[in-house]
Amino acid sequence: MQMRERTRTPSPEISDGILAQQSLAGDQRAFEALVQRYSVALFNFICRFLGDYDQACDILQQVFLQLYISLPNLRTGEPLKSWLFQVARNRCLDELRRKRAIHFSELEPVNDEDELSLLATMPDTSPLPEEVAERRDLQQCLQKAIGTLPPKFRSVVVLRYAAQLSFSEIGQVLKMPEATAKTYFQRAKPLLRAALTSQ
Amino acid sequence: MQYSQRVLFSDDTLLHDELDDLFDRLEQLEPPPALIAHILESISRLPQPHRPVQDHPWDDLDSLVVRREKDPPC
Repeated sequence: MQMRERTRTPSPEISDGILAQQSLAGDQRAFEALVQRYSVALFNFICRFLGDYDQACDILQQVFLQLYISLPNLRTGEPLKSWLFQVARNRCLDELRRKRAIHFSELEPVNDEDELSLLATMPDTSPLPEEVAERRDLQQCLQKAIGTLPPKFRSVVVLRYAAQLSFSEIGQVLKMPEATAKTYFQRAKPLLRAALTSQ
Repeated sequence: MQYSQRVLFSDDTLLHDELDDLFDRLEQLEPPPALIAHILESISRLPQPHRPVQDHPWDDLDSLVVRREKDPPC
């Protein structure tokens, strides 16, 4: 797993709409540009939403495959970014439902170690073991706190904190007014605090 | 762990507190380069997507006209 410092996505030079049109016309490099533009944000969203690195890889593939197949039918009035995150979120929710069904049917006890599998595999890049341990502990705490949120709050929180979307963009993804996205975010915060303090 | 609220205004018109500061430290994950290469390779092998075929380009305009096919011709 690779990590890097948190940076905002650079402002695009060519609009998503143009790149989508060029992709539809057979320009593979245009599609590659779309993949490069959104892969990190989508991957972070999926990974943090599910807390599962391998599943995030699978779902990221599905999202871009869905994009390619849907190119002829994309509505020009809807931002591509919102569409991509909608698809990613739907795939994540499908996965959560599937997991839940398996857990209920098999009556498996929830194992905290499983939930932390994503973070347990993070590479140690810091030279000091104490710093590494502290950083890993923090990342585990944050991921675990996210995992306690119900899906509707988790979507807003992960879109905000992991994918770094504005509330306007979050509203577009979740098809809700920007003010509602902010309200959900504020309501999620006490839950996050409670989850963090309980650790 | 205890977190007290620190009231600041962010550029997104919401109060920025210590919880935000904490989650700002959430590390950004990079998808493996091999995954991106695999996605692009897989898609390059797919057939080119096509726009939905329109039998008659004037259909869109024609559909705006209310037809009275049961009425006698004028």
